[in-house]
Amino acid sequence: MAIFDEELKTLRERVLRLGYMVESAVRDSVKAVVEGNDDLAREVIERDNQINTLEVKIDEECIRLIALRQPMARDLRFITTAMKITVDLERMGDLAVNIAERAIELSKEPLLKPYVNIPKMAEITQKMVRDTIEAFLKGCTKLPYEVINRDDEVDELTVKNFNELLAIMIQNPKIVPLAVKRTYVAKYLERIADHATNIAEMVIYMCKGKIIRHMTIKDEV
Amino acid sequence: MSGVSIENLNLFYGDFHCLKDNTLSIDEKQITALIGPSGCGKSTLLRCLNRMNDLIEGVNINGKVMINGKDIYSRDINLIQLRKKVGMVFQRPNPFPLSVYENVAYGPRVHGLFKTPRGAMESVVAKSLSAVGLWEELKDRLDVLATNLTLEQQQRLCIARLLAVEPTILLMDEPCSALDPYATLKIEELFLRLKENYTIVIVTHNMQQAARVSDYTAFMYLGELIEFGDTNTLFINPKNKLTEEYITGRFG
Repeated sequence: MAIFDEELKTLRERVLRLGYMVESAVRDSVKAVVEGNDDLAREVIERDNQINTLEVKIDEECIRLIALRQPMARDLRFITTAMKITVDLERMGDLAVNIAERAIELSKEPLLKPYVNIPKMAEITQKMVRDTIEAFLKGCTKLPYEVINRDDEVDELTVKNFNELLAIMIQNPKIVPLAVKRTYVAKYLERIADHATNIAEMVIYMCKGKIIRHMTIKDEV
Repeated sequence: MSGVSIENLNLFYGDFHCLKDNTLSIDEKQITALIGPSGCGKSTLLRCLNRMNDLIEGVNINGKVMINGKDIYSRDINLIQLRKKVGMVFQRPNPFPLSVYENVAYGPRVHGLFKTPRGAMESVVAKSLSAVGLWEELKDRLDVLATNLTLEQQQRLCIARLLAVEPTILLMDEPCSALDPYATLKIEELFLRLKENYTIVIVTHNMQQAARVSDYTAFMYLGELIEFGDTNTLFINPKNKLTEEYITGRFG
């Protein structure tokens, strides 16, 4: 394998590692909320440092490859995509930290009502995160389009969750601080799904050389 | 109009089929780069545009090369006029072993400008040297021997020598391959300025150069025109797998 190909392989592996780290941060943060496990939440917060360090490392590597290898065509698209999606992945990591922070706060409070919407959202969001990473790994498949389509489900659940909590808050204003924290968790998940959508769009660019951001998926299809 | 339209052009060196049915249209006042591995036919294609290949024994050409709406391979074409309109610059600067002034004046003189009023030649020399950015450097040294200039100056001078006979199309066969990176950048900047008035076709092995200067790029392989398109698209998202392999350095 040529040296440049080795370098690209290393870059791909690093992005995947970052993806897996973010995926487990999201998974564990939601688990911490649902199970009221503040130890797990603290672990997520501590691990974020590793995500940040790897993001910077990938960024530096991309800049180095552009400067020294002057990549063209699919190599150029791959490197610029790697550079952009790591920003989204790092932000997803931060949002997992936010969820973990709320998990710690919520673990000190009585359970308001069983978690229904948040686990559902988490399931979809985690699958989106996993699929975006796989899409990046496998390149040109239907996967990124499926990720983009699933974002609407998460958005709907965010609204549903908010409305349900709002109804409870109106009935019992004392639980507002607690309920607001739960709406935050849903909002963070919704943002994570948005970042997954961004990544899916960039993977499509990487494959096809076509920017589909700010288009509806119907335009693209 | 000084664009070039190449239609189903085939060229044979004896039995060897060198250019295979090349069809492409070169826009006026744009820079078109021809890229491809050694022996792919890009220089041969370039040399078809002012019929330089006519001078090689055993060459057989069919197809059309239309310039100004006229097929330059038709019988009634005036080759001297053609080569005046379609000038060429080569890999190594090849100034005449004459003074700077005489190098530029040579063409106009051959083409009969000596008959025009006194001072006309001086103004052609000044204008041509100015157009390539040499006038300020050399206006007080017009009598120095051209071969004593730096390589970059020599290449500029060779371009000025072309401009003096008022061409519309400039053919460049690896014009920077003998130059260092700084001189290369300066010559490339010159191309970008010349493009306002001339149609430029450049053969280059340097893909970064094609990417930097050209508006359109053609990728050739084994005599075939594999892909032709705007330079942006070709270098970011080429349509053909061979093009992609070549420009990403994974060829063969």
